[in-house]
Amino acid sequence: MNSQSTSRRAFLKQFSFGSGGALLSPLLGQLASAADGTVGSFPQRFVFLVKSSGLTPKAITPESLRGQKATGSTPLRVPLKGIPLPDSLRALEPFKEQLAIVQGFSGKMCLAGHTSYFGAMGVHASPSETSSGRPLRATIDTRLSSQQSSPFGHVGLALRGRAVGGAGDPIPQGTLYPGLSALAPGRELPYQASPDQAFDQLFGSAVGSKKGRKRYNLETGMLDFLAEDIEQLRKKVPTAEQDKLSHYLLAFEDLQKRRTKLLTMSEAIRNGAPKLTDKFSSQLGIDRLASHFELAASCLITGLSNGITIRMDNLEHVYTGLGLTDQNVHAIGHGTGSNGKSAEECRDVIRTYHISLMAGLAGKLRATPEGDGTMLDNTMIVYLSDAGEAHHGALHEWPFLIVGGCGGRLTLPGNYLRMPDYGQPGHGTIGNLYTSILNAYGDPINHFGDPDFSLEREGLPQRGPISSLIT
Amino acid sequence: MDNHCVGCHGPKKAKGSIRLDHLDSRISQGLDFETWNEIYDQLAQREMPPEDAKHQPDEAQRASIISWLGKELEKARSSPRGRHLLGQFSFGNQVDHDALFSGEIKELPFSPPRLWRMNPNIYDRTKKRIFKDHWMELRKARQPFSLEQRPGINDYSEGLFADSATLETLLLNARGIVEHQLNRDIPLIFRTILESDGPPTPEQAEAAVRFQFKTLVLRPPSAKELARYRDYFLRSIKESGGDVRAGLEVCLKAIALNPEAVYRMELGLGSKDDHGRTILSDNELAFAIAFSLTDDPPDQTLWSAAQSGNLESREEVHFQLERILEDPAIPKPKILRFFREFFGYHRAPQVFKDAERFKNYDWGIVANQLVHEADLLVLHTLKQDRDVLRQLLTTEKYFVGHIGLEADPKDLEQRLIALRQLYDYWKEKPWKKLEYEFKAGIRTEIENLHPFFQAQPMKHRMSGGLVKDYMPYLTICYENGLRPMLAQFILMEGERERNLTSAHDQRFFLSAYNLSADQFDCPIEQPFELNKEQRVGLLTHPSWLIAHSKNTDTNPITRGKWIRERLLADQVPDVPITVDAVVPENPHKTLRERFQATRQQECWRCHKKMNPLGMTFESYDDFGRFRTLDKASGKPIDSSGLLDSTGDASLDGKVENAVELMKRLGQSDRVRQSFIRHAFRYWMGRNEMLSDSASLIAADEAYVKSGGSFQAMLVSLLSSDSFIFRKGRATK
Repeated sequence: MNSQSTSRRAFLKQFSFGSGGALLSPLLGQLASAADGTVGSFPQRFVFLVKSSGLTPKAITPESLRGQKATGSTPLRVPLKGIPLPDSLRALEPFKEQLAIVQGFSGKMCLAGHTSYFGAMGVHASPSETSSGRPLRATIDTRLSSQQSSPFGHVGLALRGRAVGGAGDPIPQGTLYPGLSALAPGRELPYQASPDQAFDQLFGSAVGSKKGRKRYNLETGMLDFLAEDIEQLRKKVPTAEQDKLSHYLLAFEDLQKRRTKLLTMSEAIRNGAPKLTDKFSSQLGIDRLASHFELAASCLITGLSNGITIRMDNLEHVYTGLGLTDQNVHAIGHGTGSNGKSAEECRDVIRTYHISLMAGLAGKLRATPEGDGTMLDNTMIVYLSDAGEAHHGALHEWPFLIVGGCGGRLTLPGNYLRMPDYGQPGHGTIGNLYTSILNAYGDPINHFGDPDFSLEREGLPQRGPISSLIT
Repeated sequence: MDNHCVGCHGPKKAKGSIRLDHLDSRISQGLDFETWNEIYDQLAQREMPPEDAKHQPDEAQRASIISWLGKELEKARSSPRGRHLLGQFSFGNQVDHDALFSGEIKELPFSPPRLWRMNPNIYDRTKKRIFKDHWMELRKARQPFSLEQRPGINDYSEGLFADSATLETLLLNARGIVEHQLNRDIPLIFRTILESDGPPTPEQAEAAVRFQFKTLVLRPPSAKELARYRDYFLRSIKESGGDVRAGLEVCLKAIALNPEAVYRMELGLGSKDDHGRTILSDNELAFAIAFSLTDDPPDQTLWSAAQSGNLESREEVHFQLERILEDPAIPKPKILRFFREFFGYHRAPQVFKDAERFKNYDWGIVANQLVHEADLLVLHTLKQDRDVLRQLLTTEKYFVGHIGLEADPKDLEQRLIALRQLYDYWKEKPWKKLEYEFKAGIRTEIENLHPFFQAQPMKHRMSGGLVKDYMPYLTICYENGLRPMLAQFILMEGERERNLTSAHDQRFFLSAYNLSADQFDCPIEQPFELNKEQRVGLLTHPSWLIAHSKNTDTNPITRGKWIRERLLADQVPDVPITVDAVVPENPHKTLRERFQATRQQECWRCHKKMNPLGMTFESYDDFGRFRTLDKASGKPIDSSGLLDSTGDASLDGKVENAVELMKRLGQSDRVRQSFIRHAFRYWMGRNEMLSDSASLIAADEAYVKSGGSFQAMLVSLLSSDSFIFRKGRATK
C-alpha cells in the first residue's frame, strides 16, 4: 500500500521508466512539506464515515441558524460556541470546540441520484446509477492518509457494499468493494465487511484467535516459499524479461517488510487491540458497525493506520437493531415510515446512532494524550453521504460534519460554515473544499477533481483552494 | 547544433517551445528519446533549419549530424528506456509502412521470447470457473490484472508488470478462493483429505496440488513442481502442529500466487531452426492459440493435439484455428474486443457529458446502449465476413434500439405483447401517482399480465417507479401507431447498465441518430438503412463520435489524429508538453474558425495532418447529432476537408464531408494494410518490426484473396512465423 521503502523506490527507479516519477511523487511531497514545516511532529489521522441516503442540510443545522445564508460572496461563518446543536447531534456537544458543520459546497460534477460512488470523495461522475465505473483518481480519504506512512495504509471497513443493488442480500462477509474509495486511478480500495476477519488481518500479528495466529504465521512462510519460486524462474528467462519477475518479487518483499515492521510493534498492538468479543462476529448490523468503530479507534491509537473509511450502511440495509424492522434505508429515503415512525423520524434515529458512534470514536482519541494535547487534535473525522444533500441528492450542496482539531491546519473546527449558494459568486464545490484540505495538509495540488461545467459556463471561477479555510 | 539550432531553440527564443539546451544529452540511454527522434526526423526530412533561416548547414555538416544522431538513436532503441517506449502502442507506426509491405524485406519473422502478464478477461473466466454461480463470492474476488485505459491496444506483453497492487489483490482473492474451495464447493480430493484421519498420503497431496494447478495455473504441474508443492503441503501440516486443513489452505493459496499464474510464458521452448529461431513448444502454442481467440485455456481437442505433438505441423494449427473459429458453441470475445480497441467507440461512456444539457439524468445508460449498437454492427459484419473493413467504414445500415443479434424473433414478439399489455393495464389508471413500490395486490395483477413479469429476479421486478418511467414513451408510441424500441425493455433481462427506461432517456438516445420518439417506428429487421446522406459506417456512429469528442465540444484534432494514425499508418507527435493548446473561446465563431490559431507555422506543421481530416466531422455535434448549422454562432457548418500526403496517391484530394471521406478511405489499400497492422499488434501483443514484413504481407493477401474475410486474415496471422517463432533480441 503506502509503506514503500526507500530501497524499493531505488530499485523501481532502475526498472520502471514510465511510472518512476509517479511512484516517487508521494515521497517528494512529504519531503517538500517537511521542508516548509507543514508536517508537525505528530502523525495526522483521517477518518471518513460515509452514510447512504443523503445527509440533509436541515438535519445538521442548529435551530438558530436555519435559513441563514451567506451575504454576497463571503461565506457565513458562525462560531458554534453557545449554540445548541440539533437533537440528533447532541452526542457531539462535548466536542463543540472541535466540531465543524460545513454547508453549501456543491458537487454537480458528480452523477446525482442514489449515490455518486467514487464521485463523493473523488469529485467526478460515475457512468450510471447502477455502475460505479472506474475511479479516475485516488479519492480524498486515501490521498490524505497516503502522506502519513503506516503499516496498513488506508483501511476500509464496511457494514455493506455498493449503495444500490443486492436487495434482500444478507449482511456481507469478508472483502468487498462499495465503489467509494480509490488508491489510484482504476484501483479501488478493498473494504473489510467482517469485523472478526478485520481483527485477524489488522491485529493478528500480535494477538487474536489461535487459528488467526496460525494462519498468519503460515502465510508469512508462504511468502518466502513463493519468493524462492519466483527467483528460480527468474533465472530461467531471458534477461530482458527478468524485470517483470523482479517486480513481482519486490511485491513479496514489501509484504514481508510490513510483517517485520508489525513484529516490532507487537507490544503496542497487544496493548491497543480491541477486545475480541462475540459482537465481532454478530450478524446484527449495529453490533458490526460498533465493532468497526472499535477497530478503527484501536488502529489509529496503535498507529497501525492513519486513515480509515467506514461505510456506515447502504440503501438495502434494515436497521433491525434500532427498531426499524419494517423498511430498509431505501424505502425510508423515499418517504416510507417504519414501525410507526415517520420517514423523517426514522432518519433521525439512524443519524443519532451514527453520531453517537462518531462521538465515541472522538472520545477515545481525546482520551489519548499526544504531546501537549490529545490525539483528537491531530485527527479529522468527516461524516458525509455518498448521495449529497438528500436521498436523491441533486448535489447543489453537500453537507459535512467534521470533528477533530485537524492538526490546527484548518479554520473549520468550532464553526458553522455556509458557502454562498450554487451559482452565486464565492460559491465553492467539493473540489474546492478537498483542494483546500489537501493544501492545508501540505499537498500542494492546484485543483482536486473535475470542474463543474455549468459553473464554468457562467464564468464562476472554481479552481483551487479557498484560502480562508486554511490557517 | 550550437551554430544552427540553438539560436532559435535555446534560451533566447525557444521556438516551438523546444530548447535543445534543456534536452538530456544522454541520447543513447533513451533519455528525451521522443524529442531527439523528432529532431532526427526534422533534420532528415530537411524541415529544419527552416528554408528562410539565414545560416544553413552545408551538406557535409547535415549528413554528419544525421548520421551521428541516427547512431545514437539506434543505440537508444535497445536501451531499457528506448525499448520500453518503442514497446508502447503509440510508437507502433514508427515502422515504415511502405517498407513493411514492399516485399523486399527478407528477414524471417519472429517474436522475442517473453512473459505476458495474465489479462483481466482470462482471470475473470478463471474466477467464474471456481465460484460458478456463487455471486456474492464472485463479486468479492477483484481484478488483479487490470489494464490501462489508454486509447488503442493495451494488452501488450512489454511493460505489463505484476506489482504490489497485483499481489495484494491476488492474496485477498486467494484467501477467498481457498475459503470457498474448503467450505462451500469442495472438490472431491480436498474433501477426501479433510475427512481422513491424520495427514494425507503423498499421492493424495499430489492430487490436491495437481487439481489446484489446473484450476489456477491452468495447466498440470511439472514433475518438479509437483514434488515441491507436495512437500510444502506436508511440511506446512507439520509446522502448524498437525493441522491438515491449515496446511492444505496455505498450499492451495501458494499455488494461486505462483508466478506462472501471473505470467504466461512464451519463451519458445521447442526446437531451433536454421535461422536462430526456436519454435513455441506444443504446450506454449496451445495456450497461445486458445488465448488468442478465447479467454479460456486450451480445450480438450487442442490440448490433446499439443500432447501428441500434432501442433508441430502448420496444417494442424490451421485446423485448430478454424475449428475454434467455426464452432458457434465456443465464445470468442477477443475478436469483438479487437474492434472495440481499434475503433475506440467503446470509450463513449467515459466521455462525460453534462447530462443537464440534454435534460437527462443518467448519462451512462444512453452511452452504453450506443456502444452496444456499434458492437452489433461489428458482430453483424463479422457474421457476413465479406469486405469487413470497407463495410465497417461505409455501411449505410445501423442498429437502433435493438436488443441483440441472438434475439429470437418470437421472443421479440412476446416482449412487444408484454409491453402493450403493461400499457393497456395502466393507461386509464392514475399511473402518475404511483408510489415507488407496488402494493402486493397490484404486483400480482402485473405478474399475471404476461409470463415476462413473473420470471424476473426480485431486484428487476416491475415497480411503480418503472411504470412511471415507461408510460410516457409507450403512450407516444401507441398513440402514433409506432413500434416501441425493445432496448428500453432489457431491464427485464437484468442488464440495467443500458436500460433506457425513462422517456427522457429515450428522446436523448434517439436524438443521437437524429431520430425522434414520436416518429421512430423501431424496425424488427435490423440493421436498417438510416440516412445514407448523413451517416455511413462506424466513424459517423454516435458512439464513435462521442468517444472522440470533448465534454462540451467536438474534437477535430483527436478525430483527425485517429484517422491519420489508425487508417493511414502515419504518425502525429503529441502536443509538445510546453504548448498550452487552448482553442480561443468566441461565441461568434464556429470551431473551424476558432481553430485558425493552429495555422501558425509552428503549429500547422503537425496540425495540417489532423485538422483537414477531423473537420469533416463538424457536421455532427459533440453528441453525434448531424447538423448543418452551428448553434452557438448561428453560422452554417463547413464540413469540407482534405486528404493530403496520405502515401496513397489515389486517396489524396478534397472531400466535401465525412461521408465522402469514409467512402474514399474504404477503397484504399493503405487503409486496409493499416488495419491489418493493428490486428497484428493486438494479436501479437506488441508492435510490428520490419522483420514481421512477411507475416503482414501474407495476412493482407489472405484478406484480399478471400474477398475481405476477417477470419481468413486472422488464421493467417495466428499461424504466421511472427506468432510461432521466438528469437532473442539483438543485444547490440
